[in-house]
This record gives sequence, C-alpha cells and structure tokens, in this order.
Amino acid sequence: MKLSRKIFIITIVCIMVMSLTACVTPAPTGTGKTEPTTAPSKTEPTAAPAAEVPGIEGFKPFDKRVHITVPVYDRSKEGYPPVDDNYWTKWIQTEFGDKYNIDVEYVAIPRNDVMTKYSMLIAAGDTPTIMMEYDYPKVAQWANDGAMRVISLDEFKKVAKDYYDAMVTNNQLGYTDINGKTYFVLSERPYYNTTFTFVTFVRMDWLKKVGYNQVPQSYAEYTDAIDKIIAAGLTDIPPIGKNLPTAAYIPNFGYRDFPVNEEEWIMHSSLGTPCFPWEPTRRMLKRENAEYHKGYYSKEYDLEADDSQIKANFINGKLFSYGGYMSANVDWLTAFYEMNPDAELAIASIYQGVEPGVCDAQFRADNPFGMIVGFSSLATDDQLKAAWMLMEWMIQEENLFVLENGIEGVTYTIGADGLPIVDGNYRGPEMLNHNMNIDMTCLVHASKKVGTIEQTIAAITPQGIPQDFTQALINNYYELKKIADKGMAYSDPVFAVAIESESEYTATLLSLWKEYSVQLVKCPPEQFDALYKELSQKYLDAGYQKIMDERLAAYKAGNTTKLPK
Amino acid sequence: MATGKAGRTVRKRGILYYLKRDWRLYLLVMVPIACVIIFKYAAYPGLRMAFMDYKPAKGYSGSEWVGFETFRKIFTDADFIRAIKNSIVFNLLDLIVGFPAPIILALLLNELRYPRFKKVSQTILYLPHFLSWVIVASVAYTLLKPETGLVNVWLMNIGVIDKGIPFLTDKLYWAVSYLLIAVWQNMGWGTIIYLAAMTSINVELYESAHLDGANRLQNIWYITLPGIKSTTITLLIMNLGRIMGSNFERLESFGNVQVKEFQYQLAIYIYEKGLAAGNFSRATAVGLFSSLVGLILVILSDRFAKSLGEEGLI
Repeated sequence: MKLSRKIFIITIVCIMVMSLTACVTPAPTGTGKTEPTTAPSKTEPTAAPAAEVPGIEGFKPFDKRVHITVPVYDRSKEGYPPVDDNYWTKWIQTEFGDKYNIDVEYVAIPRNDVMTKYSMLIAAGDTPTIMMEYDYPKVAQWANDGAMRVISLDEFKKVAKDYYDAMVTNNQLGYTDINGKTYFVLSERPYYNTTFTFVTFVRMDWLKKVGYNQVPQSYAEYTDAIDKIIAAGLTDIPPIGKNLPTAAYIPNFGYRDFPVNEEEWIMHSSLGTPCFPWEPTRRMLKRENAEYHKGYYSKEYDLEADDSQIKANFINGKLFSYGGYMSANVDWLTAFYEMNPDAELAIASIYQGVEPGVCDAQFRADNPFGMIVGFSSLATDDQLKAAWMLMEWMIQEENLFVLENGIEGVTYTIGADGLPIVDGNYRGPEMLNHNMNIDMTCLVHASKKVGTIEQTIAAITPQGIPQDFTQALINNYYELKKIADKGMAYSDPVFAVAIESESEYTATLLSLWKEYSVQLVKCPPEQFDALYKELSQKYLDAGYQKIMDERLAAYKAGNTTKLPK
Repeated sequence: MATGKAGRTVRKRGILYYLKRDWRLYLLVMVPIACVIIFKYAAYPGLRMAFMDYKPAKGYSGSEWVGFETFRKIFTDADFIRAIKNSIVFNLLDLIVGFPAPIILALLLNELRYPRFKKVSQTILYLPHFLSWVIVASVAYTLLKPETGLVNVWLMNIGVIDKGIPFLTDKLYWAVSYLLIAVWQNMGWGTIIYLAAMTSINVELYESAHLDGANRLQNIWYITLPGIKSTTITLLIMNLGRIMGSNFERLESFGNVQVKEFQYQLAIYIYEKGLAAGNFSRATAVGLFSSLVGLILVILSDRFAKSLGEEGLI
C-alpha cells in the first residue's frame, strides 16, 4: 500500500473515531446538552436557608461564589454605553453581587430579535439564569420546550418577600402557571390600562399654518389637516412616517367592534402572531391603502425595516408626527428642538383616528404585568436563589431609586416638590441607559413610579427642551383613563397552556404578514378587496387556521383569561 | 522491496521513518487538518437533530427520535419546494453569469503589457471582494432605490426616465441586479487562480505560435484557454457542489418584501422556518439534504470530467 494512501486511511479512521466518540460521549453537566431539568435540582444550597427571616433581612452571603446571568435589552442606541457593561452593571455588582458573593453578568439581547437570541443561548447551553419577556406566548414557549424550571412560589416568597407581596397586591398570581405548573413571577406595570408612557407628538406649528388651533379630534379633521399640509408644501417628503411592519402586533384595536366578540378576541388578539385574516385588520389596511395613494407615506416605506429613517426625518423637521416612550431623557425630542428651534409640538389626540363605522377610540391596554420572569432549567438551586435575591434587592425603594435616577448632583437634582429631576442631557460615565435604566429595572417594574400619577408623570416628562409637556401628559393620561373606564381599553388573552402550533408557524406567518401588508397598502384601491380575500386564504392555509383552532380549543377548555366585563 | 524507474532497488520504509524525517511538514499540515476536523467533522454528531424532535433545552438525550418525520414535513411544504426551486435557478444563473466572468477578465489582464497599469487594475478589481454583502447591499440600495436612489434621481434629472426604475424592488429587475452585483463583487478575486494557472503555461508555446504567425486571439484560443482547462474544470466541479447552497448574508441584505418570491431560497427557509422558529431539526434536515445533493452533483460532475479525459477532482 502506498504511503499516501496509508496516511489518508489513518486520517479518515481518526476522524471517524473522533466523530463517533463525540456521538456517544455525554456532554458535561451544565452545558445544556444534558437531561432536561424540569424540577429543581437536588443540590444543597450553600448559603444558610433564608426561611428564618423572609426577604432581604434574611439574606446571607453564599459560601461559594455563585454566578448568575441576567438578560438586558440591547436597543443599539447611539451615544449610550454598552448595556451589558456600564457604570450601572458595575454598581449592581458592587452593591449587591459582592455583598452576597454573587457574580451578576448581564447578557445583551437584541430588542428586535429576542427569540432568535434566546434560541441561540438555549441551544448553546448558555440559557440566562433569568429569562424574561413582556409577551406571554414567548415565555410559554420556553416553558413548554423545557428551557425553564418549575418553581415554588412558597420558596420564592421566603427569599423575595417584597416582590411576592407586590405580585399579590397587583393581583398577578393567576398568571404564574402554564400547563398546570408554576414557572413565572411577574413584575409590576403601573397604570397598565392607560399606556400613558407612549406618546405621539405632532407639529402644532404646521397645524396652525393650515388653520387648526388644536390637534385634530377626528379622522376627518386629521385627513383634512394632512391634505392641507401637503398642499401647502410644508415638507418636501410625504408627511407621515411609516416603515415595514416588523412586529407581530397589529395595532387594530380601534377598528374592532365594541364590545368585541370574545371568541374572536381569543382567536386573534395576540402579540405573538399577526392577526391578518380578521375584519379589524382589513379595515386598518384599507385605510392605509387610501392614505398611501393620497401621498401620506413614502413610496419606499417598505424598504425601511426600522424607524431610524423616520426618526431622522422627524428630527430634521420633515414629518408631521413621531412617537415614543417618555422619560426624562428623550433624545429625539432634544435633537428635534436643536434642529427646529422655532417649532411647536403638541401631543396627538387619541380621537385623531375616530371615524364612525370604521374606527373608534379603543386602544390596547397593557397586560396587568410587566416582565414575565422565569428561570433557566439549567440553573442550580443556588443560582435560582441568587436570582431571586437580585429581584428582592432591586425592588427595595432605595436601590430602585438609585438605579432610576442615578447620583444626586450628577445625573439628577431634587426639585421644589422633593422629587428627582433627571438631567436627560448628562453624558458622563454615570449616565443612565435607555429610558432611565428601564431595561434593568424592568425586572421589578415596567415604568418608573413616584407617588401619585401626577408625580409619576412629572418624573417621566422630558427635560431640557423648550416646551414643558407635564400638564399635557397629565391631560393625556386622564383622557386615556376615561376610555379605559368605559372598558374600551383591554389587552390580549393569556393562555394557561402552550399553543404548540404558534411556535411552529409564527415565524412564517410574521414573514407573510410583512409581505402581504405591503402588497395590500400599495395595490390599486379597486383591487384591494379581492387581493385581501386571496391573501387571507393563503395565510390561513400557511398555519393560521391551526393556531386559531388551538386557541379556541384552549378557551373552550377553560385555559384562558376572559375579557374584562 | 520495490523497483524504481531507473531499475534501482528502493527499500520500502515504514510510516514512522517519513514522520520522523518530515515532522515539520506534518506539523504544519496539522493546523488546517485540525481546522477541518473541528469546524466540519466535529459538527457531524449534530446531524442527529434531523431525525429528532430536537429541543435545545432537553438536549439530545431528552429529545424524541422521530425518524424521517422532519423530512416528510419538509418535502410536503410548499415553501420548501419554492425555496429549492429558487436556489437551483439562481445558483445556475450565478454559475452561467458569474463563472465565465473571471476567466474573461483574467484573459484580458493577462494580455496587458504595461505592468504598473496591470497591477493597479488588479488591485481595483480585487477590492470589492473585501466588502461584506451588508455593505454592498446598503450601497446598492442607496444608489438604486426607485425614488430616492442616486442613479434614478440622476436619470430623472437628465430626462432619461420619468419614473424610477425598480432595480431592487421589482422581482425581475432585482434578479438582474442581484446577479450582476455578485459578478462585480467576485470576478476580480476570481481571476487570481486563473492568472496563476496562466503563469504556469510554457512561454515557448507563445514564442512558437508567434513565429508561426498566430495573432493574440489565436494565442488565447489555442494556448491560454487549453492551458487553464484543468483549473477551470476543477473550479467548475467545486461550484457545482454549491448548486444547492445559498448565501444567507447576500440574500438577507438584498431582500425586501416585494421580491420575496425570488429571494426565498434555502438559506432564508432555513433561517425563517428553522432557526427563527427554534426548529433546529428542520434547519438540520434541510442542510443535510442540500449537502447530500451537492455531494452527488460533485461526484457526477467529477465522473463526467474524467470521462472526457480530464483529471477530475476526487
């Protein structure tokens, strides 16, 4: 046998042996490739049991260093420090981690691709100790796939007493289970039924130029104003910002019949899968089609997958409106006034879209909870306890205050009313990350809360800009509350069982929704109805029918929440 | 004992003798071999996923074996059929449009007589290869958007067109742009191998042809092209192996919802229905299937090349 052939054969044999060895060798413990862990592991905690004194008073340092990983959204915001390594991650390590012998490592999760990042982490055996999301279908999928461990609320309240008490106060205990097992604890969402923290601003100076002394109060007024703005040439681009829809949520609440049929609500109302074949969505798209053909949107809007271009256009004074979450440091508002010092903004009215028979002032209330927090199936008892300790530590008022306001005299000052005024323009090392560190403090609540609603709004009113919106934001809140009190603000159903077909088809359906919505917005108006019918059928066949059937079955079996009466 | 060509008796040596003598060379070659083993073969155990209902959190031992169920689902999925059809069509078009381009360019560069101009030209032609698809696509969109793209704006300003050409937003225009941009990006880099092959052609052949009165075109046709034939066939076989593959970065960067019908190729299918949906079994099954088809194509084209009297690849 020739030498080269010998070497070749030896090499191949080596490779095969190595491959087969890898096939049969079990992965080491803790890499994620071991047996599923759906029940708490049996390892003994190394710290003294916390049962004697519940809550933070009973915390003792672990004997051995415990390492936990905590997800934090990465919104890729310019001018902000890295979300997983900044002054505040270090502060938590110093103030909490070092005190209790815990390493707290933050893991960046791209905000626009949460599920893919989590899938990769789970597949690599790097599941974060804490797994959290705002959307129930996502956490339900993780629990159902075995990525989360079952927990005991009794044990939880021994460690995180204040956190547990807040859950009781907020009436959240009904949302902790899926498939009959307890997986989740929930953070608070203050004033969840009013969505007052998200606000759309409009160009009041433009409205005044076209004869309006107040923001439009109906769809007729709104379209009249926009038509006049286009005719007056107040901007050289289409005045309404629109981009490719990339989220599964379709904002069709206003287009729903009220009161909404509960079975339809169960089958369609979701943040998990776009509810394309549903009459409210058809109405919404038909309106968008009309607006597109009137020149409200850019002809190339579908080439923009995020709103960065829209934001830039608004800042440059070319768009009529733009919206976002309020906080003391709203960068795009600051930039807007720098670019347009003479401009005047106003808060858009909730009634701006109202058109009898088409759209009314309903809106999506948030869930009665913020983050739905679960824990990795790979977490040891010590890691689980350390994660609970972090949550309990963070919910303490003094810790939360520092995380949300920073350092007195550096990132905030105390106002005449005794409340902190955050300096939104501070850019030193101690600067707060997006929305006053909300992506860290979301572990305990979804937005900053200070005393009364008026004080809370004052604390999240943008600072450092020429206009003071405090009163306008308070008025906006009470307007929203009026609608919510009529029952016209409600959220999506929550399922106590995992909807299997949703995890199977949702990625495909999201992709189809992007494609179909653009086709329908851009098609000639006379072809809209026929095209909608054709695409709806395709969408149903692509898996949506199965999701609807499964959701309805869960509803009939009593495994869902009901519409508020 | 073996007998050498000159009739001299050559003593057969053991493998250890050669390892000891050339250990430095073997050590050097171990680096690429280790890379191949780690990045190619070490992933083989993961192919099990294609036959399991694999749940990452449950691991291999906790996931259920499902036999060929994943493959059955894939082959009955209309999206898969669409993806595979698009992949084959676009890879063939890539091959038809893109494969001859570096050969032609190499022939042209080879004929250049002014060395400095040749070097500068080569460098300029190589540069696009070092740009990622994300950058190339971003520049392409900036230039070619129907309303605000610089090319369309310029054409409209000089009165050539009234309405922007949908270079990247109409599926047929998109297909042409998609293919030609790839040619632009890759052809310069692709010339390297052909130019290297051309340098190995015996110069005396050209001198003889010159004495016989051959012109440049005849030199190319009768000497240069036959001289690089085996290199061309080797590269063609390797490219045929990729006929089922698709470049996710390229597709995703150039994609938009208006061209989804053509953009939907295997890489997109694997990402959308596999990775993004957390369905690793499906992603693995599609990957395995396309690799097997690629392997079969390589073997068949290799046999075909050998039947034509070429050396082949395997």
